[in-house]
Amino acid sequence: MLVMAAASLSVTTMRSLDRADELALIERARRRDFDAFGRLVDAYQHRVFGFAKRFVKDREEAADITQEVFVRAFQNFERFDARAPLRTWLFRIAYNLCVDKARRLDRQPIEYRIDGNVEGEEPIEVMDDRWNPEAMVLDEELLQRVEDGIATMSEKLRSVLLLHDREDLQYDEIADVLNVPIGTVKSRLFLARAHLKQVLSEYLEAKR
Amino acid sequence: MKNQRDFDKQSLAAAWDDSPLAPDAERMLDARLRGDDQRLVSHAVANLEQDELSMAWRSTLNERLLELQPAKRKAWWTLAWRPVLATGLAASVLTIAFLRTGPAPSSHAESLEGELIRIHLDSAAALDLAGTGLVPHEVASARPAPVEEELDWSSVDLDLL
Repeated sequence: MLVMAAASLSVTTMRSLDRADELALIERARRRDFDAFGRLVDAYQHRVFGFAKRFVKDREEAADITQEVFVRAFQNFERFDARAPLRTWLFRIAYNLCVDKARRLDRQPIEYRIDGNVEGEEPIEVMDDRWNPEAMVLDEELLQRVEDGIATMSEKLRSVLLLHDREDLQYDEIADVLNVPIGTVKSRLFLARAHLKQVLSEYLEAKR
Repeated sequence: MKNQRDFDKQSLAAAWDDSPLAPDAERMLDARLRGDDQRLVSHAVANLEQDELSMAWRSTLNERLLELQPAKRKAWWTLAWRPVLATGLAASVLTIAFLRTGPAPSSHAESLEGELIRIHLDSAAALDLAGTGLVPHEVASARPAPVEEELDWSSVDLDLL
């Protein structure tokens, strides 16, 4: 029966919600409306999973963490302040669970510090067609390098990069999720992109 | 900002030690974050493959959430209906029982028992007034003998005489 329920939910899966719809669902979910909460899960489950998977670098663990995120959200929904975006709250839970998991498994990522010139290598020549945005999206190998580059990043840089560039959170939202100043968010984002740019430059140079 | 080195130093401090950025350093950082190379990397990250979760995963989540779902609070009328029904049933049973048995029997009741009692009481009262009277065998012995019987001499009797 539950499988069927899940199947029926998937038919009406919503990957994105506008703010008004989300607020209406949040209001219903506050009253322990199971269906409304299910629709919020539909809207955010893949995003939370993507974040967790790239953070813990293990698909199964990421699936478990994602489940735990929604279970905890369901248990504590009355504490959620609906004036703040739901995604900020969900990603904060996800981030804390990922960090806890890494600590328990003693897999705290090595902090690769970028010392000296934070801008890294020389600026990318954007006229170079290898850096064409459309071509980059189609280049599966390049995207795999991006994944590898993210995986080799420190947890501090990776979390900011994913939340900003992948999940489209604003600086203040990320600062709220990570509990750090906005200036720190910007610095980490800059360093994360510089790190990734270096990885991609090496790949593109080798490919030339 | 005096030079590149100062900016680098401040940016690194902000990134690793959560140190506050000076306003001019933050402005410089904002400008660099909007640079073409930074935007290209951002574009690549945004276009990474979407991660999907399985239906089995969702089903398991639904089970866990259903376990957490508190029992729905019942409306007052759903809580009250049982005692109200029980009271109504009891009242009905009592009413039916009362109607079937009727009021307590009196001496003048038209029931069979009442009639028997009445006859008994009348009989008892008559007995008190008139006594028992003659019982049947006394009635028989007190009855005068028929004339024919007195004259019914047999030849034996005659012989004895």
